Amino acid sequence: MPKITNRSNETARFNRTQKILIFICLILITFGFITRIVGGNAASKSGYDLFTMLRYSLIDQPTRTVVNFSEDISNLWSVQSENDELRQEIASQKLYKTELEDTKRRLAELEELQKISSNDQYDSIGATVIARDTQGWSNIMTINVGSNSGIEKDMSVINSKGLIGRVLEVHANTSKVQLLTAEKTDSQVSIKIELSKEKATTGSLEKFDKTTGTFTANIFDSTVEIKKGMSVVTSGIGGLTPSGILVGEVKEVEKLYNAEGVEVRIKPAADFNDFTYVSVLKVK
Amino acid sequence: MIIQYLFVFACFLIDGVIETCFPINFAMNSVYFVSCFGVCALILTIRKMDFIDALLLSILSGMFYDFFFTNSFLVYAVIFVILCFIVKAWQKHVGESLLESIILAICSLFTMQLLTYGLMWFTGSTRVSFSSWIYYRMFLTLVVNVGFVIVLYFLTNVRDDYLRMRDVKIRKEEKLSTRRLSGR
Repeated sequence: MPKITNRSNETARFNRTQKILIFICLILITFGFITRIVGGNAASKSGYDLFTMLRYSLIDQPTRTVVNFSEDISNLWSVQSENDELRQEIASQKLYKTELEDTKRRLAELEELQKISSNDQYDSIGATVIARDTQGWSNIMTINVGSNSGIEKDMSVINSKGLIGRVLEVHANTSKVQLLTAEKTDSQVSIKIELSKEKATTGSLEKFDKTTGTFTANIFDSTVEIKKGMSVVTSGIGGLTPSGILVGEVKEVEKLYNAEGVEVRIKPAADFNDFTYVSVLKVK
Repeated sequence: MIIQYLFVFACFLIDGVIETCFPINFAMNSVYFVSCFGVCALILTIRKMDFIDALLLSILSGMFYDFFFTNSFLVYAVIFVILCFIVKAWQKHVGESLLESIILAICSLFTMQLLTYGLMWFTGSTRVSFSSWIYYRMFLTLVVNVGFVIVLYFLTNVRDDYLRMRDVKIRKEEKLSTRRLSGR
């Protein structure tokens, strides 16, 4: 006859699986505290790099590969005409390159003669966007270059159409970029509006208004005549952002009565909807 | 239970795929949607679970979302826990038909997004007006996620049927083992 053992009438509050899951939660919370609050730049950087690269290699890269492949297939019909156009552009690029090198050489000679130096020289470091803010609140994206490629904090980031943001945080192989569309930002971009070929007026980019989809900028000189459609570029004041980077064009001008300056609404040149390839500008 | 957890995490990974194909418009100058495939899967799963299991799944999903997608800490863990309480409170008044599941999921999703918007407004991360938020973000988000809920409704039924059949099979094998032990 089997032996009957007396068991306690109380049942366990948590079963075995629940205990394991609670333990996993505690491990994750501890890990989160270590990487966020306790500090240790190496730990937080490796943690961020690990999750970002995992997500990029598991999800983003394969998905983009498939999407790009299907787009390439659908664009096959127009490949021939695009190839012809590109061949013509490449042929003229060689001429432009020669002219540019000659111009740079003459500029260097003139600067040496006049004992001046131009401070808007920069190097461009190409990068790919590997992670984007999925909920759209923080307006931060991650690029695949970091301190190992010479990236430093506050460097400007552009895409093919214009300025899009600045480097917020640098890790060894990745960097976080805060877009200009971020509503919570502690830095302002200094800009200039090209009134004519010889004249420009300076100001600062204040914020991005998501209701209208435009930047709001304050122009310090209220006497200038600013018209709709004028180009807005970076002024280079401050040294962080090179001068001459396209920001957008003037959409609306509002004179501030009883106040100094003019408020200008600027339509961004860059498309903040979707971009994959960007460049980080390193001022020399 | 492990299968339910893996199912929800797989749905969050599918979220990542959808967001890569349809990225969010940061400038918010056109209507866009936020994929909540994982959140809908979470809602439809936790309503059939015990409270403690549902809570644990919500916390783990939130932390997974924090680390993997948004690089925040405990933000979405807390939001998903609140979502769990909301779903548990409302599920008593809602049945398990497709229409009722859609209503439960969409109402819970809207509440969750509203909480997130309130949190972002309170912390100063956004100054988007409520009407702009509804028009540019929430409208299409809710419409698209209704489709996701319909798909998930059938997927969760398939999953639950599989779990039920597996349980039946295990019980049959236990009966056979008991008979063999007793010598019949």
